[in-house]
Amino acid sequence: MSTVEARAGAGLAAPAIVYFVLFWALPALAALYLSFTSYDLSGTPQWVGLDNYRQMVTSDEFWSSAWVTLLYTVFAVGPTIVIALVVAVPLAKPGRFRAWLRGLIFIPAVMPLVGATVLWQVIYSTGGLADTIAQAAGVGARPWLTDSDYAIWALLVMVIWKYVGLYVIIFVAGLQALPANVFEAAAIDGARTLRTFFLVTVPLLRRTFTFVIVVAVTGAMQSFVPAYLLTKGGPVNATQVLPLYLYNNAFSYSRFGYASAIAIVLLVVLLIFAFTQFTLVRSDEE
Amino acid sequence: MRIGRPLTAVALIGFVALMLLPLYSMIVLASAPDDGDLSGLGFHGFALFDNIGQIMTDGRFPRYLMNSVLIASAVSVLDVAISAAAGYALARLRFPGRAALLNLVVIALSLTPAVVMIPVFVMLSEIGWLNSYQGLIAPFAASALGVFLVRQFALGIPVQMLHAARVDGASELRIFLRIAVPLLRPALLTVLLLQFLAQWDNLIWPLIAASEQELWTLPLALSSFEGEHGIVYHLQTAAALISILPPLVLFSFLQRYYVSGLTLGGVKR
Amino acid sequence: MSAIPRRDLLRGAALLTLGGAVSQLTLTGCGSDDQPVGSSKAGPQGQVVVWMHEEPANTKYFNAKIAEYQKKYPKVTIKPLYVPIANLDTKLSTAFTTGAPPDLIKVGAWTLAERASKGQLAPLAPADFGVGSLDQLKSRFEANAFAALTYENQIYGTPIDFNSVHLWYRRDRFEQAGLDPDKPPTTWEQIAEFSQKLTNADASKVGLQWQLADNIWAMLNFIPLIHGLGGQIIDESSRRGMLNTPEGIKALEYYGSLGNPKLSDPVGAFGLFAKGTSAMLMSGRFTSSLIPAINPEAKLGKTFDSAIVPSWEGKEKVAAGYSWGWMVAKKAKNPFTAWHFINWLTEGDNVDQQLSATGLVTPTAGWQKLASASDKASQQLEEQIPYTDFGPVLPQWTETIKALLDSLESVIHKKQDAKTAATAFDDAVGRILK
Repeated sequence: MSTVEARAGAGLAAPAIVYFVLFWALPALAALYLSFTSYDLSGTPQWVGLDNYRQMVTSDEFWSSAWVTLLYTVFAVGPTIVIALVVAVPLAKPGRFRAWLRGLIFIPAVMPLVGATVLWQVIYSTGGLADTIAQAAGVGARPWLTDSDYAIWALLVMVIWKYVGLYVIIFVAGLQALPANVFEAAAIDGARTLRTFFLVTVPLLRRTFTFVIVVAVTGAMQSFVPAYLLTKGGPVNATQVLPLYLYNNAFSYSRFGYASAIAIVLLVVLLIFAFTQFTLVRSDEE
Repeated sequence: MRIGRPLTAVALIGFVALMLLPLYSMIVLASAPDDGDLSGLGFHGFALFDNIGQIMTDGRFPRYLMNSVLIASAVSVLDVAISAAAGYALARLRFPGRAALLNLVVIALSLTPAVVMIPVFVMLSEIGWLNSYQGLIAPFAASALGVFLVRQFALGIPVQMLHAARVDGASELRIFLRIAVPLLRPALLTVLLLQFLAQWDNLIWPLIAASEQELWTLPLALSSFEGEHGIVYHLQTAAALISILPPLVLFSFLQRYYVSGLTLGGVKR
Repeated sequence: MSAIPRRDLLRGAALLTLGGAVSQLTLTGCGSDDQPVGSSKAGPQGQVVVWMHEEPANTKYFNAKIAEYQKKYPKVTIKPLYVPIANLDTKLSTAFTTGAPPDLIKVGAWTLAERASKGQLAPLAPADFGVGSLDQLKSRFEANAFAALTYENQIYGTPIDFNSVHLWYRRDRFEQAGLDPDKPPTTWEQIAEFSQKLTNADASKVGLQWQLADNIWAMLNFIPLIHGLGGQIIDESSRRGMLNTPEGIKALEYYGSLGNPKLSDPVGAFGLFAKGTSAMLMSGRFTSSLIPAINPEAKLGKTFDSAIVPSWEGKEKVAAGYSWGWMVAKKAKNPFTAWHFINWLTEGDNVDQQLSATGLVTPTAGWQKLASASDKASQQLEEQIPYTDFGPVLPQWTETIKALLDSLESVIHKKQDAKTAATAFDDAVGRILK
């Protein structure tokens, strides 16, 4: 480690370090402390030891929310990444027409969720667009948001629709950052498309993949606004993801200590996940 | 320009059409003169411009829109600057605190924002930053996502290239600005865009951190169409339609630079 | 901050950020502001910050009234903040955390107990209203008006947006089903019988449809059923859930037997009723203007109509109601002026103006004789007031009623039978209120 390099590195990283300590590390410690307290957002926190954690593992609602979250994460992340990649490869090359298509795919991503969920509530209502399409496809109308077996899938369709454009853009950036000759090979059209895709494109994009998977999974496991806005977690808690359960406890039920305990559990799970991802790809990083 | 094999083109256009179908529904809703028919399939009356006019003359909406543009722009520019520096340093420089920074980034990615909000809220209230633009901007001045993305891209910068520059006597700062930043352009633009959108969609923080309507942002304006017993759909969707435009303009503008990032990435060895 | 012992490093670090909350509390407690504040001697003056939810008609009316009041009392500045309704409680909870809440708030009375129990609200003081005793103040309002605004024998707010839920029905659907639209059902037994006649083969059209998936409406729909049978949701003295009782189970079974929970409309049960998908709805006075706003073809008195809440055959009538309240924060800098303003809103013909401009009832004594209250629904509201129940007053109201909603939903969605759902609720209440 040369001094010049060390000084430059520390200098470049300093603003970020200050930011993360202030806005994330300290709150993380606060959350850890609060997870051992009973705190109703007024007065001072009361130390309760492991009570919150005990309550969590014995709560049916916690476990059902954890299950919904797992389902939500797997089926939001998987399809989003696959679709985004498949679309990004042909769209990555320059060209006016491709630029247009990228722009169009991006539209749902730029729409505020508050607007998007209202739109999808209309689409999913009885006799709405979803029913019309399902009828045309011979499936028949369905209670998209009002049946506990359908609601989670209806939510997932909206979420994938909303966010796939972002991941297309990330993959496009990943492809465009590759050296031009490699990029040509990676994004090649023609008879060898599929082969090229798996043998050239995917391995070249491995760093982008690490990023996308970590960000998508941590994002999905913390996301509550779509479920909160679209279904309020219902019907019969079928879409109550863990972060929504957490949010309700924190701000609707004034159980901030319990909410913090859930956050700490989520944090630990996600840290394990993220560091596993890092370790898996470490070999080519240094 | 031709887009590869016809099959690919057809599949792509089909996919785009599917993505746009809900937007058609949205335009129908936003054009309705009232909330009489919400099935959203056929136009009944066309009052889109009346609706938009009504929203824009309400007085508050333009202000919220402007605040969103301002805050999202400030946040994304700051984030790009801080993340670019930190992400590059993480990937290509050895320095004390490097492991700590990486750990911080992963913690920030993994911690639920809902529990972060209260401590940060209390902290900003202590230093008197509630009800101010800086209070709306500072908590998002950098992002784990940004640092992480730049790092992943910076890992692709050939070490030899940096060594060569060092041998030529370039300072570390110069290497960062003149070699790394151009190479990282697609990543930086992506961070800019992602952060802009994250702020564009940020509902809860402006709500709790600002108690002056003059500081409120677009998602709060959209939420305001919901009343005690329902939502005014035609106005809400019209407002949502307007809110698509600024980030879309930004995106179309940035697209050009994505392309030159590619060219640069190719030219330099 | 020093008041809390620092046990270990982690705790200390956490307190670094959290400590703010505590020191903020002590700071604002000193009242370091040098702004003028009102008192009964000095009269109303200074600034009053007031937060309420956004509702276009109300925002317009309220802004006009603020201007009028400030003209009359030039030393006062009223500063309103209109918060989206879905976010009002979160906004308030965080604001109270730092001890810098607004002076005056308008919130659902069902959240009053929570805020009062945390010491966030100031109990009403007779002096602020220019009366000798609170009884004098109460006599200015309907007899039942403060029921929802009282917690542990202290009154914390004055009523606004006062509602008692009654029956709304579609005259056109009744006619199509061969029912007399001038003879709406008066008992729950009849409601069930009518509902059957009004429901088609695939239940795409139904009779009575409950307001599902919503805390307050779940309670409002359920209270007349269970209380009408002589049961109760919660025994407030023993703090126990009471659904696993013969009355509770019968009420749950009845609740689960009506309507079709799979029907979906962007505006919920109001939308289904406005379109005639459902033929009956339990709702408040506001419904008369809400329904035509959703569907301009639905006309009050012609397409749809209202009636008094049904009762069980041979039993007393019980209606469910809700109220919003004006409340003043304990840390308010200017409580006298805040209450002076609220008091002024009930003076002269302001109550009448408010009702016609916003549809919100302030239940002052004799409100039902006002010009704007001559409609049928207002008279039905007035008639129901003596037997209107406002539900449990609990600091844990939101969590408790969410448990009720869970049980109601699992019954109507056929996930659990009434007995299991009742037990689940009682268990949940045991945990919540322990």
